[in-house]
Amino acid sequence: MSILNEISELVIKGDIAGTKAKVAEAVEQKVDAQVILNQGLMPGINEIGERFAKGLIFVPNVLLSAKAMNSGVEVIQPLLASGGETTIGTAVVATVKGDLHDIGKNLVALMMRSANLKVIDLGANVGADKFIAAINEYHPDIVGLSALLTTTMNEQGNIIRAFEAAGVRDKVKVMIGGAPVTQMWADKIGADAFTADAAEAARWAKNYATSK
Amino acid sequence: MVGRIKYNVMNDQELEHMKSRMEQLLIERGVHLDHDEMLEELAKVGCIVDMDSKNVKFTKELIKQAVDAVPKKFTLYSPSGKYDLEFPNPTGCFYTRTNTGAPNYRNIKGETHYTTLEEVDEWYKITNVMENLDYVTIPSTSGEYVPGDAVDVYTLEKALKHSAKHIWVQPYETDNVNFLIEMAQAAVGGAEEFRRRPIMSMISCSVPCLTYKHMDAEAMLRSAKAGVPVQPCSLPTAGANTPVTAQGTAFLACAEVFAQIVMLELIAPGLPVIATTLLFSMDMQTTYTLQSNTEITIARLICMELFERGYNIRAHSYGTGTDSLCMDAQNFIERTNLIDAMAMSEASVLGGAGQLETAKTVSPLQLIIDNEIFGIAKRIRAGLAVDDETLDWDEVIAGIDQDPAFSFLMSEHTFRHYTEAHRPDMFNRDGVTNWERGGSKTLEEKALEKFHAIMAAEDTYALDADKAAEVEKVLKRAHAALVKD
Repeated sequence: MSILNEISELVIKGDIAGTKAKVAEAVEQKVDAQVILNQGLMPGINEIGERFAKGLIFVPNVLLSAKAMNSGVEVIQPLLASGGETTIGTAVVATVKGDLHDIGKNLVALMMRSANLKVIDLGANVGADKFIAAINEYHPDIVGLSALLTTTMNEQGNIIRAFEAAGVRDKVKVMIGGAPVTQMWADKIGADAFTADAAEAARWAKNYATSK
Repeated sequence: MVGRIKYNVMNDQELEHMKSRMEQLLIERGVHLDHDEMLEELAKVGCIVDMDSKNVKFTKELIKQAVDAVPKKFTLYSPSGKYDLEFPNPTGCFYTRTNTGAPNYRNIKGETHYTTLEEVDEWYKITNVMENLDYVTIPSTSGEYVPGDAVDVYTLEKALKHSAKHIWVQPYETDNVNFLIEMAQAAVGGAEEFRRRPIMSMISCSVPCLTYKHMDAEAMLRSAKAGVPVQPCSLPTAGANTPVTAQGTAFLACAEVFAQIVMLELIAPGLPVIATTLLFSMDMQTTYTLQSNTEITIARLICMELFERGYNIRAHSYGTGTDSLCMDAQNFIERTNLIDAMAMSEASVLGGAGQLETAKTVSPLQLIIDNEIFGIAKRIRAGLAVDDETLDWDEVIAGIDQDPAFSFLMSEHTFRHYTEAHRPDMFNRDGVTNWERGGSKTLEEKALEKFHAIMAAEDTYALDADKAAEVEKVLKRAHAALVKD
């Protein structure tokens, strides 16, 4: 088995220490860092994504494999060409102002990271101004707004209006989610996407990031 | 045995171990409480408070003091006076309540949408006549129909005007808490009368792990000051914000509820409290929050035992509900699996009537069916006495059945006892011929018939006009104070 295949297998197994060591070994063997990424680490995490989508593995398996991948990325990061990006896109996520529930938002962040997105998590009870500041600082592709209550989901619409007023609406795709949120609600407030769970959020984000 | 069929899921050692670890957690780790005024009150009574980090720890002595202060007997009163609930229940049975917090309403046409005020009225008309339902909550009316800043206040006004039964209230905003209390006080004739006869109890919730946000601390503090009974809650999700094991989640839920009880009793010794652990789990494939996982069902029993047997504190959990989205086989398997287990637990209150979809949707038809299910479960809890009378010893030893003309249908013993068998109102009790002649109706169709009969009948309760007017005055003040245009 080639060393790149071995790296993929270790990522699939979720072997954090093993992945790190094997990537270091590959570097020692003068394998190009970009090749290690594209032909070793990425195939492993992509296979995990496929297995998860088919219902063959569980979320903790995905997260473990993502950790394994990240341990390998840390080794090659300094070696990648200047400005070499290992993530496919950036998302800013938070629970909206007035709402402290964060389980769903935390899961979305985890799954998006596992899908190789960079995620800036602003936390819970976050108002429009903080979102706008994050858009201007991080230039995300996607902004995710989470709300668990019918009384706080209105804030999702308010935030989108605030984005329009601040002139940043066209810079991002807005994704919304949460227990009372529906596609109908997303259409009503002008969100770009409604996703029913963390896995779907990550899939949508990955598809968008790799297609733009 | 009459009084309670039961099984315990923890042996004595396990129970003591859990109690010991729980108290150790409160002593060594403490809790986070985001409410300066309440932190100061707790500091005054001897808790170890760090005002900067907003953390509070307790001592073994304070914990004992608080537990000793929990009232052994209390009553949750009803607006009508006809459905007062004594704790402990003199019959040994549990009380039941409706679901709380669901944003969606599934009407009789099967349409699901955000709850309207008309549906709130409909809900209370049904709950008033459900003979196996003991108290109610406030539905989560949509912010599209009432001001979003005052959903709880507007909906409580409906409850006070229309519910004959005790009301358990969830506040949605910190500033609303006092208005909710004032409104309930107005409904009985003032603060002192309310203290004597509390027709409303409060929900306060933790955020795992061991954290209480400002609104819930406000709910605790104002309730303690006004004599509002509190049913403190923890709603953890195993694998998401608490340990993935059901036992670990039960442990943290108990600790979070216990901490609330300790704080409440230190501030207001003798305040009626009911420990309310409402457990969920996260599915490790879909990440969906579930109510009906089997291990979590057992974990609820652990929680009930910990409080009831471990501390003689009344305990409350889900007694019905499903992760199914509709009234299908999964629904009924899950909810009966749960209620049968909980009926044999130590629980003093079982809740969730009317809910679907992991408590996110309520349905009037499900509510009517849950009334039947609760009836069965209450009967299971009651058990059966074994003695010569119930054995029908006299007739059997006399050989009365040896007479060819004899039928047990006509024996004296049968005449004395035949009405005792539980007979759910809507369940089929006949053969196929009569069933077909009657229209081959399903349970859901019978529930729909019952719904129509209830809606066609006169209202069975309304708050006195003068008290309703006082409630409306509070609502007006609340609107002026809370609603931002």
